[in-house]
Amino acid sequence: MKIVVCMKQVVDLAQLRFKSDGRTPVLEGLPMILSAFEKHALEEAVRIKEAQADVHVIALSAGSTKLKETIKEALAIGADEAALVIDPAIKDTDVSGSSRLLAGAIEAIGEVDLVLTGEGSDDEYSGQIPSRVAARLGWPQITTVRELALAGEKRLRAVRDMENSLEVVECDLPAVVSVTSELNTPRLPPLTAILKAGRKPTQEWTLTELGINADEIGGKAIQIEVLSNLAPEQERKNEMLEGTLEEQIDALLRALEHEGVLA
Amino acid sequence: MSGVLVYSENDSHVQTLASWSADHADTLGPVSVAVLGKDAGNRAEQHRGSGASRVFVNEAPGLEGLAEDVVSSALAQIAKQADADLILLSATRRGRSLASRLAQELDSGCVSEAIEVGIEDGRLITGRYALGGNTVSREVILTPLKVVAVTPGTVEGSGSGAVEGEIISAELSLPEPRMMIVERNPKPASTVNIAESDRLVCVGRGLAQQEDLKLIEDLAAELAGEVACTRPLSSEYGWVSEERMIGISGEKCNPQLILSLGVSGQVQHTVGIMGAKTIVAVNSDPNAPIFKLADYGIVGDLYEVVPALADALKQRGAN
Ligand SMILES: Cc1cc2nc3c(=O)[nH]c(=O)nc-3n(C[C@H](O)[C@H](O)[C@H](O)COP(=O)(O)OP(=O)(O)OC[C@H]3O[C@@H](n4cnc5c(N)ncnc54)[C@H](O)[C@@H]3O)c2cc1C
Ligand SMILES: Nc1ncnc2c1ncn2[C@@H]1O[C@H](COP(=O)(O)O)[C@@H](O)[C@H]1O
Repeated sequence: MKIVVCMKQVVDLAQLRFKSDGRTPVLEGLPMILSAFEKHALEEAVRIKEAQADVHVIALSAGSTKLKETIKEALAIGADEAALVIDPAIKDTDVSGSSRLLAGAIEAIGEVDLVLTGEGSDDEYSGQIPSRVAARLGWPQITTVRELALAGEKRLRAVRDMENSLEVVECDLPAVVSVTSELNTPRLPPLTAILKAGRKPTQEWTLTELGINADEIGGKAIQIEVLSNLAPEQERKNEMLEGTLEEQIDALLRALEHEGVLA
Repeated sequence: MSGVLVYSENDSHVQTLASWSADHADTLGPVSVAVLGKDAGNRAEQHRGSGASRVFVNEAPGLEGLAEDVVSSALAQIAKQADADLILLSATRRGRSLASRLAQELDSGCVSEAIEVGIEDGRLITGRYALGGNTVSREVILTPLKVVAVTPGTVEGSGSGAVEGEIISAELSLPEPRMMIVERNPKPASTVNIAESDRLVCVGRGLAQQEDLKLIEDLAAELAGEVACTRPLSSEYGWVSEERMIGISGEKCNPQLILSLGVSGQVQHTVGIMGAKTIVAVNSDPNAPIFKLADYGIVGDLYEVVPALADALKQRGAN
């Protein structure tokens, strides 16, 4: 069976800095990494592969040329192959366009049984991609899955984590499944595997090679106009309490009392 | 705009969204509500007075499992019948999943988790967290049809726009559901709603072992507050129940006071405490990012600060 894991390349947000206004993010120069939730998706795919014969795991990503480096981590963790959509037009697209690229690549890969994604990406966390890809492919979607089991080649059973309930669901494959971090604990790739990862096969497409027109993912196809994207305004006192522990606690209680926030 | 269609599997979210929409009917147009699946006819009654001029009902058995592909097909058809160009859903997990499916089926722009919804110059403006919660992206949807899933608690309706809605049985042609629900197991009834607590004591990985939670619970008791936590403590270690986890994938809280203990202050966590009136941070690392967000900071070992603070509060109570 063929499992495609959609993995997004994102900037390392732990290193995000802001301009002197404190609100405008500076994205230039940040290192690119793989988004976190997808690592649970990849771990699950690799576990399925380890548990049964004839499973082929493909890590699929759409993004910039830097992907070739970033995706090595997925290969080192256990994907058999990387499939990359790399095109300058991609940086200006939105979730609709990205889902077009991923659905296009899944069709180009062909005979895919299962598509796994994270429940949300580190940067957007919109969760739109799995549903949009499923809709484009005409497949069922099973989102926010915290337990997954294949019932033979053609059916799966999953436990969905809804706020107030756990839902056990079944569906026929092919399907798109998005996973939560409760699903498993992703392994860290051994160093030797990272070194060898570059030798695994990588398929690469541009938009045109996928038969997608740049108009479909940019320009008039853009569905959302961003008015502003700034850190929320924060007014905090930032008062560090000094002195002995006793003095600090004393000062704290007086301040909290003064603000009227104690019971 | 020509009209709004409101849907959620959660009836109280429907009422809030319908009532808010009715308050803005001048710009948004008439409000319709869709009630689908089991017992829809009866459930529709409670939405008649919420601000919707029409309540569309369908009880097709295929809708019972609430499979997103079937529900989105139903909503797309009802939106057409209702002449709605804005579809408002609630951003529960199911609602987010549904919103994006529906948006794709309608080839429309979608905001799947709006934390701000407003109208400016006759346009609908939404805000959502971006860059992992570091920023809020304020946006306009450009497509003729718009789908927005609104985070519960974001909007309120005045109730003044209430009209006596007409109940309409919707004629729908639906696909066969392909996802089958085998069972639906309620999670253990929630014992606490930290989103509504006035005082929170939030602990992070600075806590060394589960047994030490006692210290945190004692402090919370002295403050008459609730214990909350960062994600590692609930999702990874299972020390604290998930309903107490704060952050982008947990609860968003607006307490009067939050004490943040042994929490580094990663943005995925801190988006959930932005609404707090007063933030106090205790961390042994003077460079921990949490201090930048705090009103008051103590650089120190939580194992020393917490018992001392609990004692001081006890004495305050005794005086
Ligand atoms: C997509 C995504 C979504 C996420 N969603 C959430 C979410 O909803 N909620 C959430 O919480 N996290 C979330 N996370 C995880 C988040 O990024 C952080 O990893 C997490 O919040 C860190 O938890 P922490 O502060 O408890 O631990 P750490 O970052 O390990 O910090 C522990 C802190 O304790 C301090 N410390 C250690 N010992 C002591 C001591 N004795 N006394 C005082 N201080 C001490 C340390 O100096 C350190 O600052 C998410 C991550 C991703 C990628
Ligand atoms: N450009 C991309 N390439 C590959 N996978 C992606 C991409 N964007 C999103 N995904 C997948 O879709 C999931 C949800 O992303 P999002 O809809 O952006 O929150 C992620 O966890 C990834 O698995």
